[in-house]
Amino acid sequence: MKSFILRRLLNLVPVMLGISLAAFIMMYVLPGDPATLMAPQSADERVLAEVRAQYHLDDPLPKQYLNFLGRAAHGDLGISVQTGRPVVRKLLESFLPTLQLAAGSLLFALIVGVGAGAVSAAKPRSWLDAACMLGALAGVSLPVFWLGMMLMLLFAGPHSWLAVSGYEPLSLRHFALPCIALGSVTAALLARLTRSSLLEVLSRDYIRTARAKGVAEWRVLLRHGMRNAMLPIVTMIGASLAGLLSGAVLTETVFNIPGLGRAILDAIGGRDYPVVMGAVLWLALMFVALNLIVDLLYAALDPRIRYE
Amino acid sequence: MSERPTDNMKIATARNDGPRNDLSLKPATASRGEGPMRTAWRRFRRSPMALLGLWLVGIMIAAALIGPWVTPYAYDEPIKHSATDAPSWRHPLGLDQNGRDVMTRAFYGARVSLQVALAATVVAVALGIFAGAMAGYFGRWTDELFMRAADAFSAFPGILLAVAITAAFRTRSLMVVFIALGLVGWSGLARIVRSQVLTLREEEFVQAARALGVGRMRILFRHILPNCLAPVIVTSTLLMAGNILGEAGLSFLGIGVEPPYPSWGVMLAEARSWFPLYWWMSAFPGVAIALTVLGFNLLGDGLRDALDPKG
Repeated sequence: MKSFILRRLLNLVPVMLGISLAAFIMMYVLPGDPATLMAPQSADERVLAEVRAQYHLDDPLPKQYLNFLGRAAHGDLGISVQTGRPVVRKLLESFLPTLQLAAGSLLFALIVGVGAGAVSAAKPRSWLDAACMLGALAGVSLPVFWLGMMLMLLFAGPHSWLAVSGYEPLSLRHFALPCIALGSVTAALLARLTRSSLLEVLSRDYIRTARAKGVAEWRVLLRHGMRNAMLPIVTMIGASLAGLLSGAVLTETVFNIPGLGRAILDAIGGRDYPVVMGAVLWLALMFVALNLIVDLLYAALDPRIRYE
Repeated sequence: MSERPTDNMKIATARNDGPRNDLSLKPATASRGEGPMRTAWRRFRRSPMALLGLWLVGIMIAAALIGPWVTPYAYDEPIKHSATDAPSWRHPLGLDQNGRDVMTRAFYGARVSLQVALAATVVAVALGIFAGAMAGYFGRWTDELFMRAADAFSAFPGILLAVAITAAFRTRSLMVVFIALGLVGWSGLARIVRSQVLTLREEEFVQAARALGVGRMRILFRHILPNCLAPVIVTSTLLMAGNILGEAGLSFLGIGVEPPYPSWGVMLAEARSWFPLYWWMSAFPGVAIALTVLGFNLLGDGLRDALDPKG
């Protein structure tokens, strides 16, 4: 187990290097002088030279890359061009709203998705099953941002308690609608996955045995069925959490939440390359870390899985 | 899908079991000469959901092709100057903030959205087949190179990656949009093609071809790749669904298709600046997107069931 974790952590090194290199290349090798992009429109040659000096843009590219890596290893991702503040602080600040949004969405998706999937699998080919699966199909087909707009139209009149935009930490009033909008896709995918996974498990012999010896049906479903159907569900939770944490740009835009996705989008729009590169590294790290956690959860859920 | 055995399976049993199985020879001869495409179509037709998908996609394509000819209005000419109207008999989907007919714009939007999605899918499929075939067939460092690239591309949420690629181009055009979406979509297909090629490479008919001295490229293009067709068709259909959502998202963020040219995403973006006034401006383009995406998803699922020889 320990050597497995160690090997996975070592594997991270080339992946992170590759991603940082790709981000670096995107920033410098594509046409256009980064200095003119970073400096204000009206900047003359003197200001440009200053910008180049400040960001070490005159150094050879390999040296610039190594410098960037060296500083990143110390937790220094540079200074934001737009605000002049450290990139790391900017990322942490905007990560907080996104974290709450992602957690809320995942919670919604788990309750609705796994619930609907379990109901479907418990009564396959019933009208309830059909309704759940139809809902799941709709869920994967609706544009998230449009769903957000429609939720606002429906639930957020002048007399409604729900807020339609803005951010307040840990406020149900502000996060209810965005979490439903963002969580719906994950809920739909989870519902379909839970249904097929649980149906597969319920067809096994040990379920028949459990029923035959008179175990209560809910117990068969939860203790014998769900526990064994969890493995693919956990995989999907891991994958979708990465997506929720980072891919919430559209939801954040619709509901005016100052999250990570918004920050990256604004940075790309404003050519704030230090922020973009920092965010890319941050996302990549989060993604690989989540994958590792999912792999470790496997072993916890299924004692047959052992990592060498 | 699998309640009753298909004619295909009967042919197989008839051949394998020899003379003992005289009874099942009859359906076998009856369906002799049925090509794989006909078999797939027959299986496809049995699923009402798949047919619904085909209808939805068909209606949207028809709207894109015929709609602009049928409508009496232009997509960029105001009918009433800077005034909106709720849906009415004359304008079933209402007028937008500039007094333009929403239905007309939705027809043109269907054109743009479907075109961009199709072009993006072509880019993704071409890249995916190339990378997957190279990785699966040549193995070793070629495999490592293409698969690590696929890992890197799929490590990022699609929409942000598309935004970044769009920004890297530093110009805005339809081409940038579909190249960005194509670059987002290729990695999944590359993995599927690679795994197919890896299995097919060891099949007996490929070894036979190799033993006969057929060249590597010819084996790849004539013997291996044609056998990857089924999963590629299914994946590209599902990619269409994803790319329609992708285009809408990019346009909604203001970096996709450029107004005044309408795509469904552009229409939603324009509706947002007036939101929550004029609900028809945001409701209808969204419904169009949802139905189209639903159509492609159903079509993809139906094709997967119909093309799966084990199904």
